[in-house]
This record gives sequence, C-alpha cells and structure tokens, in this order.
Amino acid sequence: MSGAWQPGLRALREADRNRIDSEDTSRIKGSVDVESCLKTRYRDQRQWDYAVGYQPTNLGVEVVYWIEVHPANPRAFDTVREKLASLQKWLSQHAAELSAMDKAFVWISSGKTTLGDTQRRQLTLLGLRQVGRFFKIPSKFGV
Amino acid sequence: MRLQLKNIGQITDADIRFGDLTVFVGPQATGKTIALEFLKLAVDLDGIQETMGRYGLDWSGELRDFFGLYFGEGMQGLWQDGRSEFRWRGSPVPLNSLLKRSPRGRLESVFYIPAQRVLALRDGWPQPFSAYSSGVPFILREFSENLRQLMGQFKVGGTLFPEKRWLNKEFRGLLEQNIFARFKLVLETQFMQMRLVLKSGEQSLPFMVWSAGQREFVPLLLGLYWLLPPVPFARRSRIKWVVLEELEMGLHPRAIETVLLIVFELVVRGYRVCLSTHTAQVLEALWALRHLRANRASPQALLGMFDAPVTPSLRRLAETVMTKQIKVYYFDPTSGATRDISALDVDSEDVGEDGWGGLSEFSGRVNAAVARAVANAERVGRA
Repeated sequence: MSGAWQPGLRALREADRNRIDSEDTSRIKGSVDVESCLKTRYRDQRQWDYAVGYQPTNLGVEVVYWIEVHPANPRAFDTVREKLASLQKWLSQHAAELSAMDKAFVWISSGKTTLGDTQRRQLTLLGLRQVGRFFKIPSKFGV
Repeated sequence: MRLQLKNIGQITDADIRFGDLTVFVGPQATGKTIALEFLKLAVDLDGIQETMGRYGLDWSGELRDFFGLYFGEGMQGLWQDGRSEFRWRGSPVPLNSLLKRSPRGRLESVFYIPAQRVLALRDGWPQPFSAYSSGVPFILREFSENLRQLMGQFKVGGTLFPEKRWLNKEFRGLLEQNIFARFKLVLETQFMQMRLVLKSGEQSLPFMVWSAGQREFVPLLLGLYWLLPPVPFARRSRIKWVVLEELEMGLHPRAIETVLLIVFELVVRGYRVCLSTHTAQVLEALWALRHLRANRASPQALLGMFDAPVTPSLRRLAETVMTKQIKVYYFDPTSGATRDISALDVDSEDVGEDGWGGLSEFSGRVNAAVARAVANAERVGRA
C-alpha cells in the first residue's frame, strides 16, 4: 500500500470524498484506496474501501480511520462484516506497523440507513462504528 | 395551524406547524413548556380569562401580571415589549389589548396534562383550583380542578381501575400487565376524607406510599379518563387539543409503550395531540411508523412493535394512525430556535435531526467508544 498513498482525501472516489469532513481539514494527512491495492492479490475476498490518516489534536501521532462506504441495510450487514474480518486478518498478518497504530473502523452509509439497534450493537462489538451518510472526523481521538 | 414565537424566554425563534400528532424534543430549559403554554394561550385566551375571573384572579389588564398568574410566579418578565412576538395562524396576537377587554365567554378547548401532574393529587385526592396559591402555573391548577370534577363520577368503595366503563379492554389489559400488575385503583374514605388508594387483596396503600411511577401515572390515567369518556361518547366534543408533557415520567419502557398506544387512540379519536418528551422511545416509535407507512406494512406490524394483541379495534387504531400527519420539532439550546426534524433522518447532516434532538446522542457515543476500544484492544494488549 505504500505506493498508493495520496495527500488529503485524493485517494477516495470523487463521490465518496464529499462524505468525509473534519473541523480542520489540514489534519487529514493522506488516504489510500485499499480496495484497489488489495483486490488483485486477494481476488476471492471482499475488500475494504479506504484508509484515511489523521493527526488529532490530542495525540502526537497519526491515527488511521478505516472507512467503508456501503449501503447500511440489514442485507448488507453480513457483507460488511466479512470485509471487516478480511481487513483485520490482513492487518494482523501483513501490516504490523499499520495494525499497531491507533485506529477506528467506520462504515458510512451510501444510502438510507435502516440497520436496527441490535445490528449496530453487534457491529460495535466487532469494533465497527456505523455512522449515517456523512462522517465528520473528530478533532480529538479516543475522547 | 401555525404558532410563531420570537424572543420569549429562552426561545429566540419558534416556528411550529402542528400535525395530528406533534412532538417537542430538546434539552431541559429550552422553552418546550413555554411553547406549549403559548399554544393554549393562543387557542383558549378567552376561556383562561373567564376561568381566572371566576376564581377572583385580577391582573388589572396588565400583561406582566397576567403572565405571572398564567405561567407562574417569576415568569412576569417572559415578554419583552418591542422584541417579543406571538403569532397564531399567521396573524399577530395582540395580547396587551386582548387582556384589557372582557372575555367573550368561549369555553376552553385545550386539555393540558402538565409535567408537574403529580402535584395535582395531594394525599390521594385532586386539589381544587382555589387550593393553590396565585403563583402556581395556571395549567397545573386547571388540570387539578378537572380531575377533582371527574371524581364526581366515582362512588366511595368503587374501583377506578380496572373498570370496564373506562378504556377498552385491550388498553385495560396492557395497563394491568405493564403498570398496575396486581393492584387496583380504588376510592375509599379514611377519617371522613375520600382518597384514592392502591389495593391488592386486603392490603390498601395510600398515596404517600406509592412508587414514584404510580404517583406520576395515576393523574395521567385520570386525565385519559377525562378525554376518553365511557360509551356512547367517543370523545369530549368541546376539547380539540390535548397537550401531554413528558408521558414517560417514572415509567418503565413497557409502560411507556402502552401509554404511547393510548396517545395514538387520542389522535385517532380526532384530538390534535402535542407531546413533549425526553425519551428516545417515543421518537423510535414515530420513526418506525414513518417507515412502516412508506413500505405499506400491515397494521399487525405496528401492533407487533407494541406487543399488543391484534384485535379488530386495535387493528382499526393501527390502520388509522398510520394515515395521520406527525411532526417533530427540536428545541435547539444553542440558537434558541426550533427546527423541524419530522423526517427523523438518522443520515441527516443536521446534528439535531440525526441525533433526534439529543435523545440518541448518548447511544451514538456509547457505540463510538466501545467500537474504538474493541478496534484497539490488540494494540493496547501489546503495549
């Protein structure tokens, strides 16, 4: 993935760039189109969409937001869960440095959100936060 | 029906178009109660003046003094001459001049169930209007008086709940299951004073021993009895509006479900209902109603949500309530303005709407905190 890094949100597809914001966009350090990087090598697996590097105001190091843009309905639940599992496996086996960084997994809805409370809690316990159609990166991490 | 308020108390700009059911949400002290009291003022000014006059209250035509009597002691300064505005159905309401003239004898048509309803029952008996000092808000005094008048329909030794004249059997069943359990609400005499007690077998519990939830709920139940009279009457014909503040007070979520279903019954019977609430459960039900309607779901789907039996009368209730217009307004503490969040869109960029006026914010922060902890657990373990 090292060659795929681009400044700001440039690695994201244009339609998806507008879904992410921040109080201080200069703190969005860079992004990677994870799916493009990994799909050739891992053809039989569903891939996560993006990684976005952010410099929060309360930490001296960058954190990574792993972002998936996908419809947020009950039918998509298993698909996104599978993508998350693939990503977490890849991180632990092939990207120790990235895996060691502070991170958050975020699912941005590409349409109407109709997930129920139970499914959201299940996602939470997998470490994944489902937000609406837009995600504003908070200035502080972990607070 | 449109209510517009500017620069009154905490409210900088409230613009509310009422539906068949209208819900106000927002943090404490954002003006929800003030807006509801102004609704009553807009509809019932003549009747309020008439009632006040009957009890010997005199504001000498002065707006400030009237506000102290109506909103309560300390509220005289709500109105700021030259800055405050009050419009009803698009037209300004000239309060100063209206308060100087004699009332036209119109009866009140807004039945208001206030948040402080527990104060209406002292020692198990509703207080008359005149028992309160002039500094107590009008809405509480009048609600209490309405309950006192209702008590004339019951005999000493009689059971008020469950009683088959009052509320249909489905609602009685749900209330027994979710609120009253083994207790009956009974009218008895103690030292020559009539009082309401909760009875279970031979055990008789007076008002001061009731749980907080029972003390909050019984005045609400009596208010519902007033609004849903025994057959053959479907409703009180002169009452057009019902205001119910904080229906959830002291109640378990299962009890809140039952009360909300009865609120739907009020809407179906033709009352315009306005609620204020601090519970996400109410908005969750309205969000579901919206999506069930949009997806042409059956009435059973709605009744299933409330764990209510599918009987012909509840089916009709569910079918009809799904056709009603529902509006939700958020009272924003930062701007002092109201926002129409009726879509309850969890995907909205508007923080007030996607967080349902603050009611689901905590849940969102819970999910974010736990998801982050889980995502970084392995990293913390290695450290």
